[in-house]
Amino acid sequence: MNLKNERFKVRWRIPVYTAWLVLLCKILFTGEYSNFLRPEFIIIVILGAVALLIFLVTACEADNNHKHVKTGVLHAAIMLLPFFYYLNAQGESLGGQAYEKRYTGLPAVSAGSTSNNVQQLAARSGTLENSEEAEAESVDNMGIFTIPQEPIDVESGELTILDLYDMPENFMGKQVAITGMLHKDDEQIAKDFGKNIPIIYRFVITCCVADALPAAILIDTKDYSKFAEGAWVRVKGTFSTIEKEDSMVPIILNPTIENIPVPVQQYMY
Amino acid sequence: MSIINHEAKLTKRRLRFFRKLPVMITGVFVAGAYLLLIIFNETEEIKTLSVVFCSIMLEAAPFMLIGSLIGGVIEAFVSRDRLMALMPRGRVLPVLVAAGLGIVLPVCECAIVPVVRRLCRKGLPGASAIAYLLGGPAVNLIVFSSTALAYQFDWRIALLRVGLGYLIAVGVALLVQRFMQGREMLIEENENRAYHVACSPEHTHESEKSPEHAHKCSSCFCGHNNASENSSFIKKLGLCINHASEDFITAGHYLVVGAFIASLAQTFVSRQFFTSFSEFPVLPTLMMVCLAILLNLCSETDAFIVASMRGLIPLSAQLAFMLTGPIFDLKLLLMYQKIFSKRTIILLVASILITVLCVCAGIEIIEGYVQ
Repeated sequence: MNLKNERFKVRWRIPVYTAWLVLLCKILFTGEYSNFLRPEFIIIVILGAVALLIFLVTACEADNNHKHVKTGVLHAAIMLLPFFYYLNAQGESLGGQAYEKRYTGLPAVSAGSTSNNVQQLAARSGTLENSEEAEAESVDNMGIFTIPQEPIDVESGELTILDLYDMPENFMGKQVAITGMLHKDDEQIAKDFGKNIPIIYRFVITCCVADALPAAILIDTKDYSKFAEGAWVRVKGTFSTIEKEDSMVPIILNPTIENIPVPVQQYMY
Repeated sequence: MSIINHEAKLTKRRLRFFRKLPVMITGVFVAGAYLLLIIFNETEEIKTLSVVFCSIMLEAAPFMLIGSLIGGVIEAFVSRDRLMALMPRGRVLPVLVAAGLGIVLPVCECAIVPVVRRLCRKGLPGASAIAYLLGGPAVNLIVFSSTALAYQFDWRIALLRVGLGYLIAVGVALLVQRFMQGREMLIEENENRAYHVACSPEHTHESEKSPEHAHKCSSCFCGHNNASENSSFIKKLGLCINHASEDFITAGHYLVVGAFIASLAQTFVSRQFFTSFSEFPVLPTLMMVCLAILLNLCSETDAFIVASMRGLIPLSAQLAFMLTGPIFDLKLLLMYQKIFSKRTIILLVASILITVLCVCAGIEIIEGYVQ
């Protein structure tokens, strides 16, 4: 019995290293690592897997008489925790719950380049002189906000929300199509705008999901009740911005929304 | 007589209880973590927790594995004499150099712990170890570039972050050195002592000369200078891997516990709560320090998170987040236990928090004066 216990104390490293190695190999071969990390981090994961393989081989050849930590079982249970949580995380991604916890304020694009465009759009609409008036006159059109009468250019094409965030001036007044998750009854947006406005959002990863931040765009529509909260949708409409608290909030005007299957790449990088 | 015996028994029992307390707490934590997964695995919160926890682990573990290997190389291939010859003399100069070593050897906060652990074993002075531990992840070109990128190439913020990070690393190391003497800072296993639990109790440095010693002592912390032996490259490589494996396992479970607590915070704590005190003085700074401790973000990414809060919190609070994250968070607090004594950790944490808060309060005053 004592002999068996001693062997376990030494040998518990083997299942730990094996589980970790299986986990790393699986996410590498299935491409699942991009659900947790930035794709460029594949090299780090490969290096980690190689190091684990070496450790596993050395653990298998370890001296059985060498006494190690006495709390071997507890140690192993801690080290195996990520493996079991991974089984629960397979195929999952951040959703509405994470959006609410990570929300820090209204979505905004860089104001410098868009403010002129907003004024241009407002001027072209013939009735509005500035964006505040645009907001004030957002009477019952198709949606909540004013739709420009003559879009600058109409162009169809698949974009990401990041494209619109990075170069808003390039897409102002143009027809755009973006995919993301739908968030319907956001308390903060209702508080800021005095009404419920749905948003389309996707998480942007810098290194890993832990640092993911939501990039969101308002959708100017009242007809969204048939879509489920957190559903993946494609929104097609005219891109514009509205001024709110000194920042330019991106919005899709005159939108058409359709359900789409969950994409393979759920995050933006 | 019987009363004395009874009291002695009670003291013994109490001692035994307190000795077992950390293991009991860890046991409760592990049981809780597994129960959470078993009972609530279908809820959205636990799905989010699982994704965040796995992502932190998948990002940090490879870096830690690499850090462990670097530590193993130091242990097996760099002799104590060589390391000592490289270190400048004096009390202040080694600290100044160590705090800026990150520019030459950029190591993130997860990887630096096993590296510093091995450097301490090789005789690196405690204050220099602290300076490198705090400066390495904060004062390097990767952090500088990522901060500049996050702040749309506002070089002032990047310079301020790296510059203040360096000053804090030096300041904290000198402060700890003032109150604690050299080896007193480190835990016993990092010191040169006669034997270690991993070796047999009879193992002493007298027995190092025996041919079996190198084999038996391949992964313990008895202070045996493996690198100084006239062993072959292959043998040294074996020792390097053994040490690296030991380091990964030893510090790894602290990483898991820290990452799990950070994931709980990321899943259940609203970030907006931390930005809702912007109208008060000092409070935003304090809140952002707390957020940095809770989130356990990598020093290369934290700038992107805090940059998204521009306009909501003052610059001093943004800097407080970026200055605290790389040097002190939950997982680091747990991992420091593998290098420093409890007294050192208390002093270190207090010094870090006080220094960061003082520096950021100063910036807040200057900010107010400029505006």
